[in-house]
Amino acid sequence: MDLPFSGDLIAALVFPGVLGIFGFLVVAIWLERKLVARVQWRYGPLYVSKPLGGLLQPVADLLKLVFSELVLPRHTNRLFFAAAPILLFFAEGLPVVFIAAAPGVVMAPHPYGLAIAVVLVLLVAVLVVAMAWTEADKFTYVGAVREILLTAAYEVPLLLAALAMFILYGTADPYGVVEAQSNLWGAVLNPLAFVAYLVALLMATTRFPFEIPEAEPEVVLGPYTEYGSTLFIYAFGANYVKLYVLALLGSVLFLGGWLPAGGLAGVFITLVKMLVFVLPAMLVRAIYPRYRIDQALRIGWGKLLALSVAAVALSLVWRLLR
Amino acid sequence: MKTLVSQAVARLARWGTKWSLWPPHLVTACCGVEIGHIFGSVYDAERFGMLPMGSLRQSNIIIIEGTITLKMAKFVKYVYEQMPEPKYVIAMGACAIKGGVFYGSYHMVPASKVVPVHAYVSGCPPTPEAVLKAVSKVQEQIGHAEN
Amino acid sequence: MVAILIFVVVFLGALVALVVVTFLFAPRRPSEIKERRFESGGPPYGPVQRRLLMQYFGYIYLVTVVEAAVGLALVAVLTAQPSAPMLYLAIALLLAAVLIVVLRYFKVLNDIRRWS
Ligand code: SF4
Repeated sequence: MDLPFSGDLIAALVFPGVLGIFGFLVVAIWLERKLVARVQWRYGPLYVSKPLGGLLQPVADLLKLVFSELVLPRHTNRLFFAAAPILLFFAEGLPVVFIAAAPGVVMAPHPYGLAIAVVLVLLVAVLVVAMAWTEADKFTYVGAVREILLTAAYEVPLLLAALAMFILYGTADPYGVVEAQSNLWGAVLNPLAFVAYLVALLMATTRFPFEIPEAEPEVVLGPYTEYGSTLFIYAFGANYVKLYVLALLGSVLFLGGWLPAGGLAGVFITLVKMLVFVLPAMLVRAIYPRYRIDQALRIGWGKLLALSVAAVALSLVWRLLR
Repeated sequence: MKTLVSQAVARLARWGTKWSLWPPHLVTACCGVEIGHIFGSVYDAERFGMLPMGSLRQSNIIIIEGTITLKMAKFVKYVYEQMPEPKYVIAMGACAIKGGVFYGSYHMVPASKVVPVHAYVSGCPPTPEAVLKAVSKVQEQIGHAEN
Repeated sequence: MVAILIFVVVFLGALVALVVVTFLFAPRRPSEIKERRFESGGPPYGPVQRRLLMQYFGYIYLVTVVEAAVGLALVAVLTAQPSAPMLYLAIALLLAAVLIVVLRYFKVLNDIRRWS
């Protein structure tokens, strides 16, 4: 390529990488607050930058948090207390290394790339629990237990949905997966897996119907209660990073990634396709009440498991027919 | 050079703080009912960047909602003390100013005796517009602060 | 390889840099009360760790087993030869077994107190 930067550098610094993650944090928080406000007949953030419709609101929030006092409680291990959210945020962003946003725009092309990304996403729950544990607070303690249980609810359906798609495509290479969808998108070939993935995504990012670990009326902010200042950005933003990663993964797995474009235009196509996952995740916040933890577990091991097993079966049938 | 940098940083910090005042849930009396209104559809304090927060570690403005009894004053003080540094207080309602209907009662304290107050709102209960006016007053104060 | 390194360094660097900015520029007025445990605006009371409610423990047992099995299936699918009907049969059987077990014990799973 005759670009000033090679594709993997773009991937590292701009789109799936650093700039994309922080940009997504800003845009997603703004979008969420605006959309929810729209549903509730409000304006949402506005006066901070009126011509932009309040787009600077998350920026102001970030600045406020960065320049507010950093309190490290005395009863915690202060080093771990400060390190846990940084590690969490970093670990949530790590799976993008293996996901391609456009041909060539990937940090580490790997034949099993997407499978590794799925596993990395699942591994992060450990860090949330570790973070809650370091905070040593009644609310974080309850939040940690709830996080463990919720993880138990979504892990298997998410893995099964990914398995269904890998069986269908016969590969976990991001390029191979997208190539296999050149005629029909994965979401059309296997809608069951798509739905299972979407619900598992809501659970994994603790979005609204499953916002159980950080249920505000019950456990303040769950695992994030003790954090203020910059560390709160990381602790709370980690969820948005997870949404970003899962949306990116989903658009490659189910929506044909950068097709029909190639090259750098593919990056924009991928961005637009990510909205298919991001917008519902934002909107359900305004619509649904919250499930109890046992209801969430029952959904995960009941209907969702059945759905994802059916998705694998559908993939097997497709595979044998071909 | 150093002062220039620190001035620029302070301006940024003030701008951020100004547009992102997050109150914790601290309801001391009947004015608290009005708070629901302020964040509801009609008055929508989120336009000014306010966001009700659960934990004190992230919030930076207390809206004292009406009467503070001696018993509750301990908790108001405690909440104020536990909030991280740039922090502001709005005292809402006649009760928080001087006692309102409980004026002269043995068991009530004016807000200014408990915590430093940045803006007062009069009324019993104050209308949501009045509270929002006070919020923008506080924002002006933050924006024009020196240092 | 270089790209991953750059990503890690820039990403972690940015995260740490923001914390450093907070450390340098944010106002600081430490006090004893501020550094206490957060307890909804009251003084901390009682121990943090309490006895865990174990009633949904069955799910965690289940997830450790099923997840490992599904992981094995994933590895098998990805490393298998292009057409391996036997493998697909094995996966189908595995998932059927999982479904049967979950369906059979669904009621019991919901509450450990029903285990006997
Ligand atoms: S000012 Fe009026 S409404 Fe507010 S707390 Fe006092 S009595 Fe209640």
